[in-house]
Amino acid sequence: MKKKVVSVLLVAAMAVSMLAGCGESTSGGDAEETKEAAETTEESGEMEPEDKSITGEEFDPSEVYEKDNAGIKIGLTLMTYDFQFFQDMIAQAKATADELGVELIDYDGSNDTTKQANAVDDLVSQGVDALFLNPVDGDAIGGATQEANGADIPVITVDVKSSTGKVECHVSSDNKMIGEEAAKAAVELLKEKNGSESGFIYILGFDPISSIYDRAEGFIEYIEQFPDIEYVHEDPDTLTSEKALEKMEAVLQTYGEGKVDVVFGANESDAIGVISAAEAAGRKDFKVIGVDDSPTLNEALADPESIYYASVVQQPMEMGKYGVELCTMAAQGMDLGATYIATPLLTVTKDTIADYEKDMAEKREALAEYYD
Amino acid sequence: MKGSKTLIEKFKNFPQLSICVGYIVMFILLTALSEDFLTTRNLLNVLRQTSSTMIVAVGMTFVLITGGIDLSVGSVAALSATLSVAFMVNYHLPVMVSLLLGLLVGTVCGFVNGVVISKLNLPAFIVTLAMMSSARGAALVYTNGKTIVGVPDSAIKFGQGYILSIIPIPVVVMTIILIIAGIFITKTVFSRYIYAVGGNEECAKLSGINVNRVKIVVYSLSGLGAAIAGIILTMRLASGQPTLGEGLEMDAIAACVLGGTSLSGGKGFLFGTIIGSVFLTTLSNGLNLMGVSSYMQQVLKGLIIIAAVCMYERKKK
Repeated sequence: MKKKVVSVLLVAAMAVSMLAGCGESTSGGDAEETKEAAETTEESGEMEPEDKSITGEEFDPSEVYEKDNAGIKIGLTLMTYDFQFFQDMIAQAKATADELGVELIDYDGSNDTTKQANAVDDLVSQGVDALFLNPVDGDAIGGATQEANGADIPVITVDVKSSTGKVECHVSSDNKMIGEEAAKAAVELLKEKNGSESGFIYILGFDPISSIYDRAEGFIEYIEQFPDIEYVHEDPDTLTSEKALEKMEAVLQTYGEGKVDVVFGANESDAIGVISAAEAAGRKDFKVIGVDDSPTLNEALADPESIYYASVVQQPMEMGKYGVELCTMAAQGMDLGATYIATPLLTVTKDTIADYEKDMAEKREALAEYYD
Repeated sequence: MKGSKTLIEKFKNFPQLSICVGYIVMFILLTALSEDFLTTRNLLNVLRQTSSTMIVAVGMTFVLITGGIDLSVGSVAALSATLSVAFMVNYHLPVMVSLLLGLLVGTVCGFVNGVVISKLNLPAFIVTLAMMSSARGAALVYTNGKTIVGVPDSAIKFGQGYILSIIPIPVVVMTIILIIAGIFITKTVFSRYIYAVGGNEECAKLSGINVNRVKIVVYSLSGLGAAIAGIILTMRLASGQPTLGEGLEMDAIAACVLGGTSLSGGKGFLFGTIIGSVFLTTLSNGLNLMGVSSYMQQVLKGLIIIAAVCMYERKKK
């Protein structure tokens, strides 16, 4: 008998939820409104104010700290949480959000374009006041950016830009510049080793991710000035150290002892894969240049025995900070003052790593409570 | 009284009872916990997010009923979608022609799976695993690992557009496919053959069913479903991505299993798959709305799948 009652109740619950569901979907006013909004923003998008690029030093968010930001909700999604780079960015973003008194909701993009697009839709559903997007892929996020535009939510992109839709401001280090800085370090190494700007450079990139693609391109553009520098540019199958290692093992088979002078690994996992493969094969006949700092890379840089020679370092903390400041400013309806902000770069070599590490340790210590 | 008793008996024996109840409980909880959950925008958002998994899961259900498995759907989705985009962008074929060619690519991949599995009598797990690797590889080789951009707007609307400016087109496509699949599974003799093959292949053979044909059709349908899902996802992302749909096979299998379809064949429910698929998407949407980290979400998803399977197994006894 008891069971009977329970089943009857369940049927009732089902019926009620179905009715509720139906009532909800016929009302539909919300979505129609946002659709109209989408059309109007698309129109106004054509009369966009002219682009204005500034550097990090020129960016002045001080005014927003004086405002009352309580109740502002910022949605954030990062490409992945797998690297120190993104952990630094999110920690600083959380710290800045606390300092400003805004609420920050964060999603891991897990390097999956579909998952990230869904996450942005969920953030839009939550009615956030501004979006901090660090897309897995600038083209793939476009649809989600337009959804946000349609809901009148200002979008700030960080590191990778959304290729369609309206972006209020983009924050990144210039990836081509990173490639160029790395190439400068590589050319110095060649001069040291071969006495002139000549030799063979192997470049391990990852073209599907536009930031890494641009680094390889910036690198290649710089070294192409020197006709005696030869290079090969390839990608691992996926962007993981394991795949980079596999790729590099094959490269070490192809190019015997003394045939390669410098290897450029265009991101952390590429560089780690290259170093591990070389160490496992006992090869010390070339030097490696990488991008970004990470415990593994910094350890290799500090080790005098290691073939790892230099890192071009971005400032992810600055990106996280600017991103949240810009989101809050946009949510407050303030003028952002720019449509692009370039964050500064730093080349750290075997000689300067000790100072750099000390500096970063202090910064991370100050943010300790924001790291998961 | 007798009539109501059998109704209740029927209801209790209704295989998806636990998952339906689970879904309703979750729905109520999410509505209570997040004010953003029960809004038209969000519910349509959930349906749109589930559409691609659901379409793949429908094909997967048929495959699972025959006692097979199709691990290649994610890769086939990527291959058919990138080729479809390539036909539009690189070869300037009309959008409709390109889309149909994309569907053809997916169907052919599935057809090849089916032929190898049935004619060479190889395990579906291995054959589709091989297809998973080859199709993904082919997509990467063709695109050189790069995203193809420049998809025409008329194609993008299949992923981003709305009908009556409120219902997302992927949801419409999904609904049409579900209706066709529903008619297919309830009204056609062929669908009986599918169950027969999964229930006891020898018996099916002896009763004159062309088992090979059934298998080939089922895998071709799964390939077609993968291609449709791939195209929808691609148009949503407005770019041909060779890395599209990684893990799609697992999501689809999870949806089927949650809906009570057995991995050992002979048993499968279209309705269960629908609920299973909506369940998983609602779960991740709701947890997203509540700000639960994606790492924790994966843990919860796994626990829920295990719990559901345990319940189905107990019911069997």
